[in-house]
Amino acid sequence: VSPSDPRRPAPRSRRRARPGPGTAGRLARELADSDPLLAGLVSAAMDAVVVVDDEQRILLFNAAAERMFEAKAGEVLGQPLDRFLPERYRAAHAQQIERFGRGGLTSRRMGALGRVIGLRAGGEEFPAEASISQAEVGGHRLFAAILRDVSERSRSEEALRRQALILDQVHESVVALDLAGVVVFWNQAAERLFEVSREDALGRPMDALLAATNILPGVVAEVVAAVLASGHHEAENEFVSASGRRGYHHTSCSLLRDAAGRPAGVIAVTQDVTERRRTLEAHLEAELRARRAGELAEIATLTAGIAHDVGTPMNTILGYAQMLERSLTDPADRERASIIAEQVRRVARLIRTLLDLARRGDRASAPVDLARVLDDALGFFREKLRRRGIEVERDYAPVPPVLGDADRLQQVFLNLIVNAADAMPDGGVLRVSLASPEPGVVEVRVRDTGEGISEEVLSRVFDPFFTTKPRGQGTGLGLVVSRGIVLDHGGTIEARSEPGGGAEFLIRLPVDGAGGRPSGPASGPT
Amino acid sequence: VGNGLGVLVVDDDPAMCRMLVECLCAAGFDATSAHGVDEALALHRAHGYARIVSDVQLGARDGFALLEEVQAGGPATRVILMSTSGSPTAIRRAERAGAFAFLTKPFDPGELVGLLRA
Repeated sequence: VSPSDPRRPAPRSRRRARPGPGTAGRLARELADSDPLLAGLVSAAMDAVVVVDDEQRILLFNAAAERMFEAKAGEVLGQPLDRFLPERYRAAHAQQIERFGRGGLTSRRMGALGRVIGLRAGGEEFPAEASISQAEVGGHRLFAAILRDVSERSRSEEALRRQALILDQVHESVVALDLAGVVVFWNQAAERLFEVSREDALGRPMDALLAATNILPGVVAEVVAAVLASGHHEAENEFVSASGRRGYHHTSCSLLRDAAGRPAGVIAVTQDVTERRRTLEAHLEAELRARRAGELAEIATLTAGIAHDVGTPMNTILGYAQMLERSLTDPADRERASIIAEQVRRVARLIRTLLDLARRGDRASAPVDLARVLDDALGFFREKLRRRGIEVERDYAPVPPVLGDADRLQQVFLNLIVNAADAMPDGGVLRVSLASPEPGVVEVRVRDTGEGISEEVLSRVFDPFFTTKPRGQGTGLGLVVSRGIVLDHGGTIEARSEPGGGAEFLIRLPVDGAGGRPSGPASGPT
Repeated sequence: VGNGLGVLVVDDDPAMCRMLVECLCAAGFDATSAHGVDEALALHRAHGYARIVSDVQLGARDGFALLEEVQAGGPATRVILMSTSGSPTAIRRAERAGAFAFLTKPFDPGELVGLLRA
């Protein structure tokens, strides 16, 4: 028990312990009797009322004071006020009262004295707001103090400060709005996320704070309405901050209610999910790529199976065609047999290409003059292009030879030229260009002036069996095979299009071939 | 047959067999056909061919099995294997097993004639 314990009053106080027949006791009685109405009012007051004389002895102690200080009026009347003040404040308090007494003021309103600290009989200290007034009664200067216990309010204020501090440390932005959409709370994460300081945000409409971003005006009102309707609202949206920072936000909004349970506002917790979303997107893309690779492998297996099955019959046709070519006497017949043999050889080449696609890996490669291969491919379709009214524009920059398989690369260009021609049934311009945008890389572009490729189709042009040509005219394998060949050469192929602006296929090939892939033995004595 | 112009063609596809036999005969060879390994070995024992042209895919006993048996009988016979699969693995295997040549179907019969005359 400390020396200031009120249960052990100082000896000096003990001397004046009882309201006796002295001045203080008389004044107390006079006060109590002076005006019954006033006495009743004081007694019923919600605030504690304590009257002291100029020696700080208690003359009046109402019911609220009894509750506040946990002491009966009968026990304290005539006693010094000190026992209700923590010891450390006693000296200062006495000086304050004296100064107030000397000054001309008759009263100071509640709170003007700032917080005072009271001491209950039980030893507990508590904060109170006080107002004080002074008056002369029967030749004595009396001081009346009205006190209001604010410990409850103080506790809730402290709790609020603590909560605000906690919310400040939350990683997510936490913003509270009233029902009109005005910001009433804004944590530190919100300052970072929205690039608006708390000072600038508090009291302003959320709409105004979002004006510099990509969030449309009216969205805040919509969100408030949605939360009012269902109690909760969640959204993920692309966000462009005032400074141009791009990202994805996930916002979860809940209804705020006041103490009476009435809707009071909305609390919005917003998270920057950009990273999460990018990771997810990358994951999905990888999955998609893996699935496409799997599909391609399946197609390749199927193709290899078919190629094997047709290999023998094709051989029989080729052999007989050659025999007829020699044995027929009519030159026209001999030429017909020759055409059969030539066409079979063409199919045989295609089969070999398909087999190669099915069997990625070692194969012979040699320096390939792409300009010559492109010209050969164009020459193959010269008649067809002319009949369609398609003009061919060649734009060949000098490029180094590319290490690879000329026949297979030609297959790619043939595919692209056929596709371009098919895209321009009513004529147009076929532009074929060759360039070396950087050392070690050669770029081939095949561009048409057809109607272009829609975004949906563009995303699928390299999918197996995807074709936009009428049934029976396209296998849907041309671009798959082409891509396989380009990939085998360590290159890339991509399709670009603007609707109505034609389509362009861009192939990039490294000049050193398939990234140093070892080349195998020549396949058989052909 | 002993004059070096006897050729045995082995393929389970009858049309392919017939075409090759006709082609080779037209080129001056004495060609006969068999449709399986057992039939081929029986004919070879009886006639002792200098040249055998065999498909690889013939069923449980394939062209490699035929090649092995023929090799065991002596180095006098040249065996040319043919297959629809021209994979480097198949080609290397044929080389190691001692095949004289390997042809990927479909091939030009003229090439075969050239190899037989070599």
